[in-house]
Amino acid sequence: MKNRSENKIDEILSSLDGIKRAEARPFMYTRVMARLQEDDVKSVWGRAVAFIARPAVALACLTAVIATNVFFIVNSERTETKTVATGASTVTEELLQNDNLVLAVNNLETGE
Amino acid sequence: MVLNEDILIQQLREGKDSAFKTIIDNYQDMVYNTCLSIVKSEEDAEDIAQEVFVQVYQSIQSFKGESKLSTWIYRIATTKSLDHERRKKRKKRLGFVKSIFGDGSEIVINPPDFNHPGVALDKKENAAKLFSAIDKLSENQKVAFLLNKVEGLSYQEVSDVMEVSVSSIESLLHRAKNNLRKMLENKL
Repeated sequence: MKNRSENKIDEILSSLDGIKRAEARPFMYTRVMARLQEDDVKSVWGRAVAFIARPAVALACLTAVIATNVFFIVNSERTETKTVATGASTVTEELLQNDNLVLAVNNLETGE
Repeated sequence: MVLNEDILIQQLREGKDSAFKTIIDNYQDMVYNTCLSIVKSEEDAEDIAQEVFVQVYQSIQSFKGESKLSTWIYRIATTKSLDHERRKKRKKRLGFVKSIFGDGSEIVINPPDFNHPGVALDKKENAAKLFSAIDKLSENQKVAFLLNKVEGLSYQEVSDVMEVSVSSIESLLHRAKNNLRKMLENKL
């Protein structure tokens, strides 16, 4: 003969007998379609990130950035050299002009 | 029915939205109920049910038709629900560890007893105790027991979903009942 505790356990174990199916909220289809579209947008970004993260692509991008930097640095150095050279020739011309002026004044004074 | 199912699958493979809508209408309660009985949260079950249908839509090309469509959907639903439970447990453990080191995070509090909406009012208290005990079973025993008791699947159908023999299901269910009995004895 079963005792009280065993009866209670049997009662608990059989509590799911005759259980009815829980019903999902309405408009499941609409929500699933919205989710699919959301996933599509995410996957576009995901694909973009995956493409950038490819070693070959990442290396190519890095090389391009370094090459651009090197190009600009070399270019700016050339411009500076030209400017310095131009500046130097102007100063020489001015000095020569002054020398000529001094010589002319001296010639006048000596009456040559 | 099988012919209709084949046509539905073919149409879904061709990308027809009407076929997808029919599949959702036919299987939404089955999926939701399965997920709910495993995760014991209406919000989470709703979320996982949506994930299940998203996967059905995305993976229909890989469905070989070796089993029934419902069996395949049951398999996705149980796998996703168990994954969710594992993530939840991991999060709970991590929260506990973090709380020990006092980084300000709170310990995840156990939710109150789960009441399945399909249980008769006079059985609700006992069913809540049973669901609490089911939660402590191993994953295989839990899935076999819930598919059999909550979804009302036969041993054959449970074995198709779980991809094991019928005798294995019988053994799993026998062990599940014994374990539940022991757990309930300790509680009473």
